[in-house]
Amino acid sequence: MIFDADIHPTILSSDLLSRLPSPWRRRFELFSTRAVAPPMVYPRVRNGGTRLDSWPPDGLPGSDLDLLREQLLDEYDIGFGVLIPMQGHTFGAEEPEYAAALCRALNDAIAELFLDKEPRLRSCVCVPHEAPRQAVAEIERLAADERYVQILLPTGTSSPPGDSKYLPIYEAAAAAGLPVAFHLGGVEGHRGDGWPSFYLEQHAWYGNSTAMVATNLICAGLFERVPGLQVVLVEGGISWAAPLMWSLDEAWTLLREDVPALRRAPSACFREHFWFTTQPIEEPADPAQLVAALEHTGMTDRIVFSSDYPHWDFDSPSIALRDLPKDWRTAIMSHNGHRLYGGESR
Amino acid sequence: MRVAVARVADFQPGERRIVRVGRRSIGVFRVGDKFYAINNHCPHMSGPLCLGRTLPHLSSSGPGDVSLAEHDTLLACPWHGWEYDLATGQSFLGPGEKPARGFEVSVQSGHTVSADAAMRFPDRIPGPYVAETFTVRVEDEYVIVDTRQGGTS
Repeated sequence: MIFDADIHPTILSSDLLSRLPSPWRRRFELFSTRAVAPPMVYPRVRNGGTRLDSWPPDGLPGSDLDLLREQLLDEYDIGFGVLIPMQGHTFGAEEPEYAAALCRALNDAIAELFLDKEPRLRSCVCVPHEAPRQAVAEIERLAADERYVQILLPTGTSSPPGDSKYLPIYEAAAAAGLPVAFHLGGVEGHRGDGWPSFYLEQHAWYGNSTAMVATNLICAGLFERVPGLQVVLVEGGISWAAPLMWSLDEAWTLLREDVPALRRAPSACFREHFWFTTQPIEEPADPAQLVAALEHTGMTDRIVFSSDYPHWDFDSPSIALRDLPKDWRTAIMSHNGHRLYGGESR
Repeated sequence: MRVAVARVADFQPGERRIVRVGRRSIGVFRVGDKFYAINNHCPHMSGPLCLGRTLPHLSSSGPGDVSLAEHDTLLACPWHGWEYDLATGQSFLGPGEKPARGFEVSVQSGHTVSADAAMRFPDRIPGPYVAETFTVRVEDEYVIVDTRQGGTS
């Protein structure tokens, strides 16, 4: 059974409105939500950044379950697909009560329009991440529903993600036995080097913001405070991870008094607490170089296939990763996802 | 295998038809008065090539000068946007720098020129992928696609 760890659904405004209570329904009608940050503002390569054939006659890419079934689940025999509702990245950054209402409406719409109708799909709990008290309430509301397999956060949180402000979210996730997934996006800064000038720069180096998340969580000592927490780095590449671990370990050897909360080598934290999804995995001209880079991470058992449907840079499950050793590919397409998210019973 | 696609009169310039020929899905395109047939399968990642947009060749001799070819003869895959020449199936990357060196000059038959991707689009770099193309003919007012031999006649 193929696991796909990154499928992007879209909930149409009309389906959100009907699930928003007063006064938030009226506010959404009049003002909508705050605009997305530059990742969506850059001129996209083609077709709004999505596959041209993923636009349904009515609606937006990712809004039509039948088309998603036809083009992804049925086409490639995907048995377990995780929805990553990117609308949560912006909804979750609104002021607390509005953010909570939006995320609740989003999670409920996903359940009713996708999960109730399609047993192969799972989703994330989208949370008002800048309002941790409300975020914890949303996690607790949905934790018993096994169709929600992780908590979703954007890489662009208002404060660095290791900030103590967010600790209750991580504690609630661990208490619920759910990983936290970070996906590129959000309304705040593009950490690392700030916003690049062009979409090409950003697309080629999604790993930059993703690496900042991993570094910050480790150095904040998060995994000493919440030892049961697992973190999934979605859509951020992988090959950068080993050199980063080398540098972090060396710095920690020399400078560990700077981060007393971090009691173990950063690489040990990395290898015990993080997972990756594949798309957009780095594709060097010589595939052996990718194999070497992945081997250096020591984490090939913690990489899960992702297609990124319906985005334009979609990876076909039947074509992608063919150059990897067969046992790695089998694990990445299936076994690793099974270990991370559980299998058919969920 | 030969399959009748449509009556010529029902197949207007700029239109396309996607037909099944045996196990293959093939896109037939009418560009002006010419017909082209290309496999509905992108050699990059198996996308449905013939659902993509067509576009004309764009060329420029320098800043301020842009010219579009008269007809759409390039087809962009709806997934990752690889662009293919409908006539040859050759993929292309973006515009390239012309090498500063001497060029050979020769006289060739029209058929050879048509098949030579570099001569059809001298200012673009051929990409690594080549989509399969097929012969299309007009016979007795019908458009016929023929998979027994490659290449558009």
